[in-house]
Amino acid sequence: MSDNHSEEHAYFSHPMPVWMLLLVFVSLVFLTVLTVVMSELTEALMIGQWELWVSMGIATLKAMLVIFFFMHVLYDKPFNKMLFFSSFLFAALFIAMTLLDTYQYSDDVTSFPTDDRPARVVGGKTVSEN
Amino acid sequence: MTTAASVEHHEEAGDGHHDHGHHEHHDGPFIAHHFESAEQQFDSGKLGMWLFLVQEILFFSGLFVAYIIYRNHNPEIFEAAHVHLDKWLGGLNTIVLLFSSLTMAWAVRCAQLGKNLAAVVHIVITMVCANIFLGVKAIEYTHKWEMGLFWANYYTYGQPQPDHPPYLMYISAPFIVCTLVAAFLATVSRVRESDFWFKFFLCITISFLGYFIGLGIAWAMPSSGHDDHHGGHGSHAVHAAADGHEEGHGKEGHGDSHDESHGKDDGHGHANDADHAEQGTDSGAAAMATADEPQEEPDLGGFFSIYYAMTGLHAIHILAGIVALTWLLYRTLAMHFRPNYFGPVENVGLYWHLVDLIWIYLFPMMYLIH
Repeated sequence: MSDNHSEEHAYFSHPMPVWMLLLVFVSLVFLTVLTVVMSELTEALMIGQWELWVSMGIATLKAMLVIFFFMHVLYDKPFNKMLFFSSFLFAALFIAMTLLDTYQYSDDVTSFPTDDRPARVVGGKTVSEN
Repeated sequence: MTTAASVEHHEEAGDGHHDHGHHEHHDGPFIAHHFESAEQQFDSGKLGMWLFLVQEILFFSGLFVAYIIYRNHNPEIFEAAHVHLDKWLGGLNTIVLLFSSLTMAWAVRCAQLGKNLAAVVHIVITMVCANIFLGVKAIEYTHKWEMGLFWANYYTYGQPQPDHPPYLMYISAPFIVCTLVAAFLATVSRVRESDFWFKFFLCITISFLGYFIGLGIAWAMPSSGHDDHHGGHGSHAVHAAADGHEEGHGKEGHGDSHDESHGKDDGHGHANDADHAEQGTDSGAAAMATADEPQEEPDLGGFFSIYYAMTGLHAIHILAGIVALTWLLYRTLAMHFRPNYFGPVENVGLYWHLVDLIWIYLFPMMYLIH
């Protein structure tokens, strides 16, 4: 490695070709327009309850384009790839674990006395009206 | 640090006087002693950046969990709330951010090829887009505040709104100050014939003008119609801000003494006992705030707590990005980057793309609910 290396073409960088950057951008804009249009046409397209999953799927597709091309993860070192994608794994674990007991306490919550349903005392024991 | 040329000169001169401890170690002025090569320095910095980004994702995932849990338990609140979000403004902001990601990636490419001046152009465009995003967001936020669409117990939508303080003026004041200061410093640099600083502050001034472009675009956007019964609020905001006059004095119906610092509380029945409102984002807020509200209008305070927490935190990241880009602007103007040294541009780029990535998910989660 000598001095004149610094003026030569990059020897460890990977410049993205301009056409690829532009293509990725155009695809991202297209997907953005698509997701807005689909949310407008939820009724017509009969996707109703799947609408959330469709829009999240499109968002994930956009995220992948940004990650692989704009962030050059496609050309990054395997260790960096593993590191980055492990964060999504742990975020998914976080969400899944929190959702595990979603309706676990709903009976307690609905039986909790409120202004509309005051608790009353029956035989020395507090019960709520339901 | 002066310009790259003088640093390089210093380095070359110094090379003869003392030993660096490495024989083949001369990759330029910015390669630190303790790295084997420029590539190793780059990889070390990038690994650090990836670790930071992993932390950012986990940090945001807490808010995503809050959103998912709350939506899971109260789907009707999200369906009722989506009419208050303008998907066209949100979509516009998405495209502005995507475009800034494009120019950021392009700036990285320019830095990798050692084209510093081309990188300057792309960095300035990125900064302008960041400011446009904030300008649009400012219109969105202030429009909601004028209608009482606040977080948790401060939610007063549907109640008669007292004269509100000029929110848009408050939120724009820092941008006006920054623009004027940058323009002033550019003028001073011009007068003192400091070409470098003139260019630097001129670019800063241009980038802050993006904020006002964003205000203009959002103001000019045709409303999608769902807020027609509150028509004219958007333009009212701009006029109030432009005039800067105070019209908030003692007209609110609930008899609270008016105080500018508590402007958000005015006219809200719970203002006095709502000091802890920020914590009561969930069902507690819904239960407490329903007492004096029209029953047909569900209380959306919980939704707006999550909305403001997520988009607000994202906006703070945009601000931090603008600071980082300002640093890059300085370094590109000083011609610091070259094919074996472009780590700072690459790493700020990664951060910027992550901010974009979070918005890619926030947009359908907030604006596209049905």
